[in-house]
Amino acid sequence: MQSDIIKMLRYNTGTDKKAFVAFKESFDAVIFNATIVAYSGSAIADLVSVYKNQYIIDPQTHIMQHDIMAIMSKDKKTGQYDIKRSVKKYLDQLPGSVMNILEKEKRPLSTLEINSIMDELVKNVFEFETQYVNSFIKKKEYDKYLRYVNVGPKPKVVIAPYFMLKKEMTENQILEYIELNRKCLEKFSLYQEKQELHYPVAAQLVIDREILKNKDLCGLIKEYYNYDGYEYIFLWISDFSSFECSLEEKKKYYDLLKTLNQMGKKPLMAYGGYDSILLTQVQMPVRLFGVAQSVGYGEARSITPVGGGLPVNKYYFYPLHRRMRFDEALGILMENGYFSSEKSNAEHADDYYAEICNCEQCKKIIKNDIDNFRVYNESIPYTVNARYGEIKRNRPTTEATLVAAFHFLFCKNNEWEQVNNEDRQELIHQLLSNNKRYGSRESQKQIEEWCDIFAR
Amino acid sequence: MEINISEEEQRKYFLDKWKEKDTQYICEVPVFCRSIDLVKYNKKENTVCAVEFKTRNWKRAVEQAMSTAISFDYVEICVRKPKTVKAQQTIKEYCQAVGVGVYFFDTSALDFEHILMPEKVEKIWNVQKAQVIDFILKEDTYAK
Repeated sequence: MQSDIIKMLRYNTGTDKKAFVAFKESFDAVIFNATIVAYSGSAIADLVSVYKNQYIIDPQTHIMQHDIMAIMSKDKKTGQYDIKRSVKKYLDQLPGSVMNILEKEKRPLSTLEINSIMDELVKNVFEFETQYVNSFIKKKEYDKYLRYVNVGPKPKVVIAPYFMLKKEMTENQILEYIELNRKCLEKFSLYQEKQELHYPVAAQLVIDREILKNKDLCGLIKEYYNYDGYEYIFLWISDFSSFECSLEEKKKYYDLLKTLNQMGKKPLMAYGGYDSILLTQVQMPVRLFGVAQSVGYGEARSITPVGGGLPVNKYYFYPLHRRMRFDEALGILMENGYFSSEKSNAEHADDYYAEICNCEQCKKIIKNDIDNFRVYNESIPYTVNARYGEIKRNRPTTEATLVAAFHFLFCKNNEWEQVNNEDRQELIHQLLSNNKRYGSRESQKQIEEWCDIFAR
Repeated sequence: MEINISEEEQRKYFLDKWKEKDTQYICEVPVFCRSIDLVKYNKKENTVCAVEFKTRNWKRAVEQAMSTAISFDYVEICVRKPKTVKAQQTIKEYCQAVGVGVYFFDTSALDFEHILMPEKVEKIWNVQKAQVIDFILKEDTYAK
């Protein structure tokens, strides 16, 4: 594995633990959102002490600038809206005025207000990222042991406070926020220097997809992010996949990576799929230096909360490197004759291992009978109250969710291995030919565009 | 006189008026992440047929019906009978080409015509069909 690449696994909820533990050796660091760390400090302390001692905390300071509803939840009993408990717990760790404004005045903070508390904000965020988890470890029985053998958990990277650039912002507002981000970055880096600590520092650029198309984004990046005090830059572009976005967005994303690479910065994708993993390949003309993926989902993610939707069985279709609904994956397999009577189920299973996926999870499930593929679709019917009465839908069983997550993570391991060991041309050839074979016309076009831009 | 009838009412009329030999009718059958409006289960022949109801947008009904075809022997749609013969013919030809059966619902007479028989689905995944039948039998046991 290239030593300068960081493979990260996001830990979102307690239900991710089984997969997290099973795959702990497959990634370099675990990444948490600040809110989950604040809310479950003790459990997080156990996790990083026992399983993975390199961690990263996303300080999520953008929560100060959103409409208050984005951080609220409705109390089921009273029907009243209140700030989510995990967010509240985190806000307790930040300057007092942040909570005051959000909770009492029920509005986001202005750039002026953020500027006025910046020193305190930087200090609190740094302390939170480097000390909060330790404060729980100190209360644990195993603390003495960790100190004795000097293997206590440590931040892999520390992320400076950051604010999002939104599509509805005027050019002046974008400038205000980008200046704010620069100041935070500088102060954060200097604060660490004063503490005589040397964690690698990262900036985080969080933007709406539309901002990517801003004609001067790269100019602004050159002007405000060309600063020596940091090494990495996390990129989080709302609901973005470089495979699936428009041609224009692909070109702009290419320019963004090129600009950052030329500045000597190492971009990391905060929520990335196979497109991001491919971009870490050493022969790529523009590069990422790490990707974070989740247990339950890995690819694009929106910044402000969106409705969760009804849970459905999903399956990662390895040749297309895409997570899809089970019935969509089944449709592709049917189209390719995987359940036809021309071959036995055992022969179909062999074909599946040769052409689709031969990960441990698939072998454990499918064995020598392709019909066992149904395990990925195991579900329980449940009743939903629709406007005209009750309807029945299926939701995945816990077991099906877990096997799908394991399959996904095995696939991710294979992807990293391939990208690390194979030649760029070979990787691109596989990507194109698999899309031609299994992908829709739309997806073939998108992948061809991607290859033209990123792998020329 | 033509009256305005919802999809659910249309299905209710269908269940009241339409009878086929050896056939059991089950509403809202979950298949993958969707719910099928109505499934006709012929116990004797061990076949299942999905029926999607729509008052307008008949193409959407065809699309929905076909999206779960992998689990059924037959798929059909039940849509409001268009006023013109030309429009009726368009639906018929379109569905014939994809093997989907068609019922027309005459909202004036509150009656149904089976204007096109479905063709047997070519690519069925028997595992999934068995799950549909299993659900029907369980629902049946529960109802008793």
